Amino acid sequence: MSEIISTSVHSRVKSPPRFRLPTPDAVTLASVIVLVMFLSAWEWVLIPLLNISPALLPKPSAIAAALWSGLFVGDLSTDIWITLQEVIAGYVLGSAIGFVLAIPVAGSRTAERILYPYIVALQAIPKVAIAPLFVVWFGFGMTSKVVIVALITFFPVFVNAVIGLRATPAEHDELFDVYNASAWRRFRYLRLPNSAPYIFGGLNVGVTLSVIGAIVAEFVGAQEGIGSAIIRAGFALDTAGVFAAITVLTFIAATASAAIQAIGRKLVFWMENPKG
Amino acid sequence: MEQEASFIEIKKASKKFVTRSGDQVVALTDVNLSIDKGRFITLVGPSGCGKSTLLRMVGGLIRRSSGSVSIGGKEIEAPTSGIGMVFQSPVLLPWRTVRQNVTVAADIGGADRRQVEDRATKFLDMVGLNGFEDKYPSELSGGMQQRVGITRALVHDPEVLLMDEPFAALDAMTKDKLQVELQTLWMASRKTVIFVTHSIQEAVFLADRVIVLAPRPGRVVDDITIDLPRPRTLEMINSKEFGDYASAVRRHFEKEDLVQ
Repeated sequence: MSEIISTSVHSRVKSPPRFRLPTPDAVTLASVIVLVMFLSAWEWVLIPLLNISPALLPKPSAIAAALWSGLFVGDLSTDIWITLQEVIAGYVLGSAIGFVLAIPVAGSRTAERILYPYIVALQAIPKVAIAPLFVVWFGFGMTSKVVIVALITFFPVFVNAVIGLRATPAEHDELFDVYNASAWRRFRYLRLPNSAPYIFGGLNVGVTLSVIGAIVAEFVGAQEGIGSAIIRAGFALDTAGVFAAITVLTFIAATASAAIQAIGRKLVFWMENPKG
Repeated sequence: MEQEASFIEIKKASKKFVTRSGDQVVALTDVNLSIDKGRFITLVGPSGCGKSTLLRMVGGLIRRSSGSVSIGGKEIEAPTSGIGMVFQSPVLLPWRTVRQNVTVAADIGGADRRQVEDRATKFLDMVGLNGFEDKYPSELSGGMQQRVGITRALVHDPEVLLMDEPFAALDAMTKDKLQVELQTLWMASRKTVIFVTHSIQEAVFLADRVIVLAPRPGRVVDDITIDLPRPRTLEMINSKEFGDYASAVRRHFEKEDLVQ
């Protein structure tokens, strides 16, 4: 092999699929310092100086204590588990329906003309506005929340999958023409892998929306779940409890998003930046 | 030109299409061409002369407006497993390794997997890609990517190899090297090759016969047999005979005032 790889413009050498754990560098350290300074100012400067009542704004230490007791003494761990189940079930269901519906819509203009107006109309309805209906139809239990989460997750996955399934480069299509590839093989070996970066873009948008969806649904009517815990703490003027629940929510949404991105990077290893 | 039962027969082939604004464009008109089995043919001409259209007609990728195209006596209406195609860009699937790209015919074209795997090993070796089988396309240089593209077109053992300006996007040194490699591959396999190019030097260097096309409307204007010994070397490009052939081709473009 006399040809040197680095002589070409095309030779951006990418590492094959691999998980890379973040290493603590100067930037990470700096952002941790910013957080510590922010919390310290809140704890020791803001609250004592302005003499704010704990019912309005609790100290970070009080929030941490509320979180600790909620997790290990109170019901918060049960609430987390309930919300997680709603989020996961709704997310999987909504993503699956979004992807499956994208296949005919991406594949045929007729199917698109038939289905698209209804799908857009569905998306135009504010989910918060129809959430009470779902509680009436499916009850105060988990089912109504799963349905609402699915409804919210559906759209970004659907739209991105349609774009991705259509984004096949013309020359790749011609390659498959040369081999007289069947519609199924064209889908399986070309359209599907080619759409994966787009689909992961949609899944990533969907994952944060799904947490919001679950909380909104629980606000409307639920006995359990993090959303319900926030309402209960609010009524009891347990502001530290509200903050503790919000902390948990943030953690769940951020972790889920990071997990989807990590899976995306591993499966769509050939893209430098997955779209979306 | 009326030979009996050549391997590839193109008779009165034309291609017209209508643009979006409603104008009719004649991409190719009245092309007659007979190609013997095992020959290396280059189609050369300026852009718009219909050389790529003619190539795709032979491959069954473009429907002709009139006339006939047959390979081995069979009329071509759609792509068959008898053709292999190399494109201007390598057109590799970025999620497949070199070996998976080369053997794609087994997945999407229903080619026999064991035969494809065996031939893949052999050809990857011949083009110097052994050791790169498990790399992804983005890890290869442009020249190596195109070697993968050529290997892929050969693994299902097609009778006809169609090449659409495969070296046009490569740098001059890589291009020279790949031309020599292609000749070696061709001399070993003796496929019938139709090779489209806009480079006169490339056309003369590779071909048994150079078919010269001119645009507006796309048509064949000359058919020059290149009687240079094989294997050809890059030094031969500087010889008088090579120069004479090149001028014989270039003459057409000067006459038609097509060289900018």
